[in-house]
Amino acid sequence: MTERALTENALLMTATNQDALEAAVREHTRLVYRIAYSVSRNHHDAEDATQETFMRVLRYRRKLQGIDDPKRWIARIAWRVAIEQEKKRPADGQGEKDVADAISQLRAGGKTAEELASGGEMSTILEGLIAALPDSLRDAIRLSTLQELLPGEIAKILETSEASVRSRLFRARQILKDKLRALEAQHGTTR
Amino acid sequence: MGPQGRDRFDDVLEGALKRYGDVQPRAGIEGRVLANLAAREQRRLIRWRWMWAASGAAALAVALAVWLSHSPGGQAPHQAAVQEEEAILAAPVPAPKAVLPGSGEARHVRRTRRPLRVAVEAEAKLPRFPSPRPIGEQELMLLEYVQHYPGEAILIAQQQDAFQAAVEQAAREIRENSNQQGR
Repeated sequence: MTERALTENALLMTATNQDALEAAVREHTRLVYRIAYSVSRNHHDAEDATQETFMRVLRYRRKLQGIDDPKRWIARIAWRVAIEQEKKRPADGQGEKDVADAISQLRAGGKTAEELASGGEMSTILEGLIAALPDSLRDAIRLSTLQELLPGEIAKILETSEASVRSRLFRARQILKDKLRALEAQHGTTR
Repeated sequence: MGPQGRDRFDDVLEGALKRYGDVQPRAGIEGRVLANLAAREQRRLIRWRWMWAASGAAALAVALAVWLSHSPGGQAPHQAAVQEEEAILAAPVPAPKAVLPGSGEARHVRRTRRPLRVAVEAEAKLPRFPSPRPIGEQELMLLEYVQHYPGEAILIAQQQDAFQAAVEQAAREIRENSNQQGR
C-alpha cells in the first residue's frame, strides 16, 4: 500500500471517528465536567480534567463506535482522570479551613439546619464532611450527587455491584446526617 | 431526636446534596474541548506525515547507499581521481625519436630533446581529459620555448616529420629488398 493510500485511509477513518467523537463531546461534556468537579471542587481543575478526559477518548476513539454505552465508558474515564489529578494535587488544608469558617459562622449566626442548607455555608460544611468519609463511601456519595447517574451506572464506574453502591450510599447518608445533627446540637442552632 | 427530627435531617441532607452536585461549567466548554481536540488531531496528523516522509527518505538513502556500494562506477570521486593518476604514472613512456648525429638537425634536437620527450609524454592518451595531474616543470619549459621561438619550433616539428617519413621509407625499402632476396 502506498503512502498516499495509507494517508487517505487514515483520513477517512479519522473523519468517521471524528463525527462520533464530536457527538460524544456535545452529549457528555457536562457530565464529565460534573464528575471532575465532584472530586476536585474546583472549576479550573474540573475543566482541565474534562479536557484530559476527551484527550483520552480521542486516543481510544476507534473503540468508541463499538461501545454499547458510551456514556458509562466516558464517565469511567472521567472518574479515573479526576482521581488521578486529585492524587497529584498537594493537600493544602484549604477545605478544612473553609469548614472551620463555616462552623464559626454557624455558631455566630445561630441558624437552623434548614437556613444553612439554603445558604452557601452548608455546601462548605458538607464538602468537609464528605471529604472526611472513608474512601469507598465518599466516592459513592460524590457520584450520587450527579443526577445523571443511576446507582447501576455508579456501580459500573466504581467497578462494584449495585447493591454495594446502595449500601454505601445508605451508610454515607447516615454518617452525614449524624454529623449534621451533632453540629447543630453543638452550636445550638436547632429551634 | 425523634423520627420527626430524623426526617427533617433527611430533607436537609437531600437539599444540601442536590446543591452540592448542581454545578455548571463555564459557558462554551464544548467548543473549547472540540477546539482543543481539533488542534491535537492536527498536530498528530502533521507528526504522522513527517514520520512517513522521514521513513521514506531514510529508505531512499539506504537504497542509494546500497546501490552505490554495489555499482562498479559508483566509487567516490576522490578515490577515482587517485586511481586515475596512478594509472597515468604507471603508463609506459614512448621511446624518443632517433636523430642523425652531426647534422644541424641534431643540434636543434639536442637543445629541444627533453622538452620534446615531455611533449610526447603529454600526447599519450589519458583516461580523462583534462588530466587531474598538474602541469610539470618540463612541460612548462616546453611551453616557454614554443612561446619564445615559435618559428624554430615549427621547423623542428617539420624536420621531425620529414625525418620520420624518411625512416619509414627506408624501412619499407629494406623490407622489400629482403623479400626479393628471399624469393
